Amino acid sequence: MTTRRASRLGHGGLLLLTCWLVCLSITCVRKVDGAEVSPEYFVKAAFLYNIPKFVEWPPGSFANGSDPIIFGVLGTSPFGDQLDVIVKGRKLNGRSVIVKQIHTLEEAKTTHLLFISADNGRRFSAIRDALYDSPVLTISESTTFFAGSGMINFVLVDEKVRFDINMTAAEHAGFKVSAQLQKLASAIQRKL
Amino acid sequence: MLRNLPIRRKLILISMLTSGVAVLAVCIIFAIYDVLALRQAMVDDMTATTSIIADNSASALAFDDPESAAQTLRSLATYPHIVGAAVYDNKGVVFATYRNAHGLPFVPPSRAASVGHHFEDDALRVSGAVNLSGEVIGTVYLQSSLAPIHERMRRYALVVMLVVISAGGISLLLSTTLQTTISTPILQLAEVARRVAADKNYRMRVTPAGNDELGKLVVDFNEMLNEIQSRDEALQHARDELEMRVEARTQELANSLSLLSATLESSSDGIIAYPFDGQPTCWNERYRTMWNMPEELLKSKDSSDPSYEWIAAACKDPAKFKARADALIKAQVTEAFDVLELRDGRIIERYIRPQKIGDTLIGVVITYRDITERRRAEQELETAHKRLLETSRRAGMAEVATGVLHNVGNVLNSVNVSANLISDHLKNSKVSGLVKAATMLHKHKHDLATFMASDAQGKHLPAYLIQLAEYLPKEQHTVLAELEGLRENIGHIKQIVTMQQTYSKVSGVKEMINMADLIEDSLRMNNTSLTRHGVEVIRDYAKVPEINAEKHKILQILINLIGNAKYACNESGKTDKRVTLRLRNDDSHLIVDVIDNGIGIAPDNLTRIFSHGFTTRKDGHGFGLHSGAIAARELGGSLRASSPGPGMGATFTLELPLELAAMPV
Repeated sequence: MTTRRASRLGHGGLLLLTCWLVCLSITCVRKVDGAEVSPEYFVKAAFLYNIPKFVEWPPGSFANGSDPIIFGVLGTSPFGDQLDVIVKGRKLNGRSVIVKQIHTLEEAKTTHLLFISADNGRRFSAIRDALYDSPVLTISESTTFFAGSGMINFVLVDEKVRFDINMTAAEHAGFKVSAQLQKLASAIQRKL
Repeated sequence: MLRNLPIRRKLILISMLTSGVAVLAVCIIFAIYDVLALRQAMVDDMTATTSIIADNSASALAFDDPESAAQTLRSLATYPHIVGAAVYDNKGVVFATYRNAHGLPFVPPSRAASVGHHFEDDALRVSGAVNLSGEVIGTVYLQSSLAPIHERMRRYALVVMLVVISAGGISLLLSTTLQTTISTPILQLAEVARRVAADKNYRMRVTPAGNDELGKLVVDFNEMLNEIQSRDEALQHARDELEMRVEARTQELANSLSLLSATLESSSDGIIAYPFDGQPTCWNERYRTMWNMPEELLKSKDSSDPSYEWIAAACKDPAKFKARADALIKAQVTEAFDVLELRDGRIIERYIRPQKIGDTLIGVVITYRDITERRRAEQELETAHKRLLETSRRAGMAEVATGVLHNVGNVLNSVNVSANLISDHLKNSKVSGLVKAATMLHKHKHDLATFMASDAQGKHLPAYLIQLAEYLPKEQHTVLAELEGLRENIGHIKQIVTMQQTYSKVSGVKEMINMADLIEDSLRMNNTSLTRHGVEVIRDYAKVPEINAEKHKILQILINLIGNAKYACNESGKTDKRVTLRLRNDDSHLIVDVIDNGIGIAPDNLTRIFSHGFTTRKDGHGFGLHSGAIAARELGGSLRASSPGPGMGATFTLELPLELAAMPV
């Protein structure tokens, strides 16, 4: 029902919907598929959606200007259907967004942005090796993974979700990260 | 106020006012333009700044980092006029604020304002949207004080004041010097004009200065003075001339008046002029004496007409006079003619004529003429005329009588001859032989046989008696025949005398007339003389109706005409004397033409021959044609004459009306 309304209301309606969703994500706890989604993941889902706006993918990452951008969630999704709700019907820099549940590393290579949840701890190094040199923006929530070659890592600072950026890894993979994003990062790692 | 200032001051004031107002206007326009430009520049500047802040706040809003947004806002500290700023999230709730370090009061609106700018309460407020990837995620609000603009305006006021003051000073200096080029000639002109007006001295002139309008004005003014001077002189001249002319005219008028007065006085008529609006203005002495009016009556200033009652009283019928006079006055008649009969027996004609000046009626002139004498003369003339008519009629009758007597004389001649013849016959009658024979027979009555047989005389006696018996009846016959002629002649005379008696009756008795018979009668009365003079008479009678008229009058005319024709033929000396009598009629008239081939009539005389006393005959009395014409007129007809000229004969035409009912008796 919400979706039908959104398509009917167009851009203005979409904006209102987003506002409403973000508001919800911060203040409420929602039940998703019978399981509870914590407020933290509401924020993280919104951050996931916002981050590509400040990041420029290396040339050749997309077949053309309207090629969809693929969000991959590796392992068990902590977002429930929250991420799908956020990206549904919206476009990022003219591209539609597809959210995929990713299980294999081969699969992970086909995404543009890969969220690696904390429960993937056992295969961090495998992931790292598999995606090395791939134009996949890796976003994790584990300092361990980030310390390896993760590019953006969510952290909690004073109960608030923040993020660190590993500029060396991102630039190595050919990403250009906006100064606006860098300015907001709680920490920036750069090997000199 | 300005009107009464001297020209000098007026010029200075005008130039100062003009330049001051112009400079002020220019300055104000520039100031307004500059302030408007400044405001626009400020708006542009603030909008740009808002946009930059919005761009830099996008990530802070996207990742919910108010501290980062506040950091961005603090960069505004480099703009001292920006009092404060705020960032609102996509729900319009304040996300981050900034306040100027100078501590100016700033309270951001609690909710995000709509995008755009507006000036309000000495502040410029600008709002800009924060866009991220095509989505509006918040609003940036900037508020600037208008101190720079106010400062600029204060500076402008000062500059404008200085500029106006200095412009005023400069224009005062310049106009004070320059105005003399205009005011000096004007003042000169004014001075000369004033002196000309005061002294009436048109010989003054203004010195021309320059060739501009003022110079031309001076030239024109001098020209005007020239003109006035010449006009003044001409006027003086004309005035002198006019005086002379007035004098001359007065003299002329006096002459005319005296002439008029002399004319009036010399008239035998009484003349008086009445203007429509009052007393008589002019009359002559004859008027006064005619009516025997006292001088005072005419000169009295009585409002009513003084002579009206006087003249009315003199009339035989004053009421009639008054009625007529009142009618004339009421109808405003200006031309009238009347005859007044006076008590003293005089008869006065009164003419009323309009008096005009140009085409304007101003009154009437009344002329009284005493026609008593004329009337008497006319009456006498009429009497004389009547007498003359009678004379002429008698003369006509005498002519008839002469004709008659002539005829009678002629017949008597025949009678005489016949009587002589008879007498001779009887004197030489053979009756005496018979008597001798009878005597002889008586002497021999006793011896009759012897005597008859033997006597010489007796022997011839029977033959003689037989002879006598044959002769005597012849003689008797001759004498009887002669006596018969005599009787006829005497009958003729009787007839003539009877005719004369018939026509000489002086009566107006009318009878039916056969005109042909009447012409024949007239011819008969002239018969012997016509025959004697060998005049051929041609009769050309048409069949005409009888008319009812006085026979003797027509006869008188016809005898006269035939007599004239005969005379004319006789005088001509022609051998073929001819008189034609033509009788005819048209629709209304019976016409008798008496045509002769005699001496004719000169054209000059054609009109005169009917005049009384005119004659061409040595023994004529000039009554014949005159009385003939009168008689014809009395009969309701006419008598005319025509002639081709002297020696060519003449035609006299008598026309008489057929219809007698219409004829006046």
